[in-house]
Amino acid sequence: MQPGLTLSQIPEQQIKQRLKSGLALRTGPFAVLIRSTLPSVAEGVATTYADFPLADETDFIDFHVTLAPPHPVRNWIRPQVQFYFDAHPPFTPLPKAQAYPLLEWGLNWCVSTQAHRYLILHAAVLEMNGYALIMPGEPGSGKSTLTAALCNRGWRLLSDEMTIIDPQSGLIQPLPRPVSLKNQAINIISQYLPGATLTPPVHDTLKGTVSLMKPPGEAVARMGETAIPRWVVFPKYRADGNLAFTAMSRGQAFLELARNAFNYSILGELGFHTLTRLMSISNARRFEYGGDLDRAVEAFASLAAEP
Amino acid sequence: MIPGANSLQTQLGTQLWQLVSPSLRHCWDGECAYYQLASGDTHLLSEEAVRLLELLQGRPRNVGELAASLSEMYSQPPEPSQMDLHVIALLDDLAKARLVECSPA
Repeated sequence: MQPGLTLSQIPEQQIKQRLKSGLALRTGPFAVLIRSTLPSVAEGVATTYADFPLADETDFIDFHVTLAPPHPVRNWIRPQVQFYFDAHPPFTPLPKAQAYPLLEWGLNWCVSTQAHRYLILHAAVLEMNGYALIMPGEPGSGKSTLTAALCNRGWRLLSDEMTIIDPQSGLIQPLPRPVSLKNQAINIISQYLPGATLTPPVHDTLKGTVSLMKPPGEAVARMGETAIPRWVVFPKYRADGNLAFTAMSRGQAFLELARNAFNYSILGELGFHTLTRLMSISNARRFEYGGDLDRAVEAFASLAAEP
Repeated sequence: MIPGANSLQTQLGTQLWQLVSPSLRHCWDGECAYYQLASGDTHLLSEEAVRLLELLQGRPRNVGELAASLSEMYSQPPEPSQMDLHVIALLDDLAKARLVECSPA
């Protein structure tokens, strides 16, 4: 395999062929080998991972994943898809139509349950001028909507879902992957970013209707560039809410980040030191907004411009 | 009057408060992240509560001694009797969080 080759340089038919035996991609610090014969997986991967480099033969593969029917008969009768990690299925099967979102959820699961050399927070993270903005958020907080908007308005996407912190350096390691949009966010972002590439919506998932947005090419091209933590912002979408940042103590932010982390308790003392170090160089705020994305983008530009 | 303070005060005559386990801490602006090594639990405590935990490491003999030491944090310390009650209330909160425990003297 040629080094530096990206997925977009391979014809879609060949992507389908390679997926049958295993297609290896690099995403952030990880290499993942994906196997599937399902057309929707091939289409989703070809669309959203177009700019990602292929892993070469010397790369260590971190995650071997497969998407396939749990039983051959399930290809035809009430079709289902199963996610396999190293040939083991960690989840129950889902309807076949959810195969591509399941790949994304499965990869999130792989990183959050396996990559314990990092402290991993359940938070979006973006970068500007070398500094990272960490945005933890409950479902419905508007985290992914804000992330999709910001990463197309001057901020670099490091991750929509997971903030990966290297305990040795304290720096944030990018893991740019497709941005997961749900329900109303799909229409909001389609209108706000007409040029964005989104996968066809998949309905009736556990999270409602889901669509994946292709990450900006720059985010993928620069996925080796780490960032220094600087802002921790807890967003909250309220339909009738005014746009406002409010101050938050470092201690409270620390506690909420610890609760939001996937593996804080697994890392123990190292997790505590990594998070206190992060909070000592970051400032924390809450951010309430009412859905006016232009004003939200302006507010975050002002935040980035603060000395 | 702090509910239960009398009974706690009585207990303090015959029991010793001690730390449940060693810990790590990091403080910012009057608040401290406090990590208990044995359990892996993390708490957010006031700097005053953390100072009290530090004082317990010195094995104080009674609540009066703890209160006197804690008073040094304040430029205008409360009356000693008020401070005693304050320390008892703090110890009670820390006991509920399982950061300190009572043991027979």
